[in-house]
Amino acid sequence: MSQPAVAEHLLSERRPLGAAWDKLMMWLFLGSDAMGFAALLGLYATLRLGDVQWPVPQEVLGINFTALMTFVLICSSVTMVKSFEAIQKDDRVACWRWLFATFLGGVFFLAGQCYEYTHLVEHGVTLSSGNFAGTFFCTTGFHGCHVFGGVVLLGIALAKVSSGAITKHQANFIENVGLYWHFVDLVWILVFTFIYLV
Amino acid sequence: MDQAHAPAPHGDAGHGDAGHDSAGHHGGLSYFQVFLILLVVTVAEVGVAYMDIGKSLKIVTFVAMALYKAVMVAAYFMHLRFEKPLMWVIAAAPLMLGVIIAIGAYPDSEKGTPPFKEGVLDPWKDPAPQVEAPHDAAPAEGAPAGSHR
Repeated sequence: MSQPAVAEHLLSERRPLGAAWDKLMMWLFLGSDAMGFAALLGLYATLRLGDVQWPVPQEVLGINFTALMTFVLICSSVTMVKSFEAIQKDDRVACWRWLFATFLGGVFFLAGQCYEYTHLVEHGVTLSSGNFAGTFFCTTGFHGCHVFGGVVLLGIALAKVSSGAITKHQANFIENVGLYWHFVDLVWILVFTFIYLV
Repeated sequence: MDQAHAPAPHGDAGHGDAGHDSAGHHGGLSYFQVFLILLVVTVAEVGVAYMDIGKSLKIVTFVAMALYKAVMVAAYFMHLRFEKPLMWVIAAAPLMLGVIIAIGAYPDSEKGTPPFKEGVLDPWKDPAPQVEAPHDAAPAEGAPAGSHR
């Protein structure tokens, strides 16, 4: 197939799985990204099952503060979906506000994670403190990197919305940013449960 | 679900599609209702963490709650409930991978192979008891154990 034919095919109305191409690509990316988390959580389960002296996570980590972080992340998912709702109505001001609220939620989460890490390291819990600490820092750190990536992506979206580059007709960009952000939220729900609660 | 909220047919969806609209409820729960559910389940999780109901029951409860929350986020916030079933497969496949990894790697955990820790299964330190080997494949006398590596 020649290049123009490929381009024509890609730009055609044919949509695999009924989704726009960019959204489908985002889903495939999220699926592959999730495999990284699946590997980390699977490894965590293996190490934990094999260690009879595994500490009770909530005694070491404390869950009240992390539950607050979870709450903020869930709130940020709601604000994210509201920003998509607003841009679908071509309300750029509302979209920007909701996006900014999401951005703040992400920043709060990152700040909370920094605080948590600092607290743990000050009390001698480091990456080399054994399997428990190693898996904890690797998994939550990997997730934190994703949150950071999401915050950067939200910053780009904010700039695009303010500059007028995003309107109702480019709402798919906000939708894809939202998909990524909700994925980050979804993964945290699992991480919070398996690392902190179980 | 009324017509305005129905998913667009295959091949006819516009950008920002997925068949969801801006109403926020799509004939199901509204975003706010989903938020409340997630909030209540999260609070319940923390509550269960402080309850003394037995370890096994706790684990089952936590996993059920987490999966429920994850499905709610995927279905409502990520609009997966309006996607074709194959999209669910793309989304859920990594979860299966995690389970496969955990099961597959379990025999290598300390609990799964205690003899390994004791060195019984260590092929370099404690070779299997000498068995009468065929003369053409017999190692030279005095060859150090593990020299076949």
